[in-house]
Amino acid sequence: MKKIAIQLIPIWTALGILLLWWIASLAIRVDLILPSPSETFVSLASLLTEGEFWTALGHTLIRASLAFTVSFAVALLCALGRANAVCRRVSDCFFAFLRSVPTMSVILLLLIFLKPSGAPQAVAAIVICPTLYSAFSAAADLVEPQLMEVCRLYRVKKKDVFFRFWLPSVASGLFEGAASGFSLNLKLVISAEAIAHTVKSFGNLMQNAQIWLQTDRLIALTLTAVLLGALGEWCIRLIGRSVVRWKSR
Amino acid sequence: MEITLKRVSKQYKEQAAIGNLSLSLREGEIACVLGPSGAGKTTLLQILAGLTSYEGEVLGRPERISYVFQSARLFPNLTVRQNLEFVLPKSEHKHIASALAEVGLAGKENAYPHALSGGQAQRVAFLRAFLYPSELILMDEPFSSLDTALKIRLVELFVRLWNKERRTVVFVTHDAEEAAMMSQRTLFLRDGKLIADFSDDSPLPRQYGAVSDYKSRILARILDEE
Repeated sequence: MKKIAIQLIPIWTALGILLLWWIASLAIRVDLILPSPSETFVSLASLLTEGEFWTALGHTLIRASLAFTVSFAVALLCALGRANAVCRRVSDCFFAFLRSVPTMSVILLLLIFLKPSGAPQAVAAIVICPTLYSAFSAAADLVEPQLMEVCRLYRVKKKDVFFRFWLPSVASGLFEGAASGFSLNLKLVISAEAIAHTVKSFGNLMQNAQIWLQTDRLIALTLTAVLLGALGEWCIRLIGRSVVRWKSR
Repeated sequence: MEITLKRVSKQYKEQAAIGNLSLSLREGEIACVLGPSGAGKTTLLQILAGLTSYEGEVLGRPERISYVFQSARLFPNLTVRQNLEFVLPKSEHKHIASALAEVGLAGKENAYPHALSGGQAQRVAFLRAFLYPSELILMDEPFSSLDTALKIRLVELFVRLWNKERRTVVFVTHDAEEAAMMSQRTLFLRDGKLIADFSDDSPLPRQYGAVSDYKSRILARILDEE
């Protein structure tokens, strides 16, 4: 009974948020400022019938996927490079610097250097990479040195050490880092699209909704982004759990 | 082939872990290394394995060395079979199933290490050491984390495996019974120096708890240190 109650907590939390939202909308009584949940869900249903919505969503997801793939690859390569002391120090300094740069600076600077269609994915890649690097480094640092010693003693081929030991050892950390980074990545792409007025983009839809004071539409788009981020995280964690089957439960 | 250490020394910061040690290990013998903590026992194994730098010479060190640790050190993401395949040459893979059966692990090929008991995991570690085509087997307190009954069974298993192919074995222990049961030679270290070296060629394994001159000498050395 207790177990079921615990599993229902996310649903209760969502219902609680909806209730608070509804109460707040009743208190404010101005749709332009805060529409009610029902108005927002009507707007959401309407969005789902629009071709423009699906086109924008598709393009945004492609940008987000591209940015995430590049960030993932760079972060993983740099995490691998930590085996070398010099590479480790250089990577640590470089990513510490990147992490400190304000996100808005990155967006505004890249808008000068790149076209509106290219800037959002560059922004996301640059901002997400340090986050992924931290997660991957932490996972790499947890690889048991005692087992590396066994590999060395028994003269296991480097290729086998990497693919059959190191990579599976860090897989759990990689998937967890990727899951956390995915929704942040999506948020960044959307933010950059909004500022850059990227054509055929989710961010641009949100920007237009804001300009036309279509608050219900804007909130509906926001909810969609939140759901997509959560779905992406869930999928990545699910894949991770099926890949890392050997972990004791 | 005989393995010879000639005036081998190893320094950690300002302390000598091994100081000017010279000894020869006969081919196929089982030697145990005893001594108080900090005597240099593990350092000696690391020097024999080539895992650490040192001064002096080690002659006759074989190309391939097996090592059994205090904990099994199995790869958690690989099954028992995969753990063995991971380190063994392909030519040895066909022996894995029968070898597992011989050590009482038939049916455990596809189990992951977390599903094994301590004794089972250590048996896999022993198998790994013996199936690996090495000429020297080094063991660092391989039975210390096991209860007495299990220890006796594993010692008997170890000797049975060793009898098939008599490779040189050097193992570290704090336990006089272990040393008496399964060694042919005892090397006693103190402060990185060899202070006693005596042998017993009686057949192995010897009975746990049996009284012998060899065991008495081992105990006398240990008690001297206390």
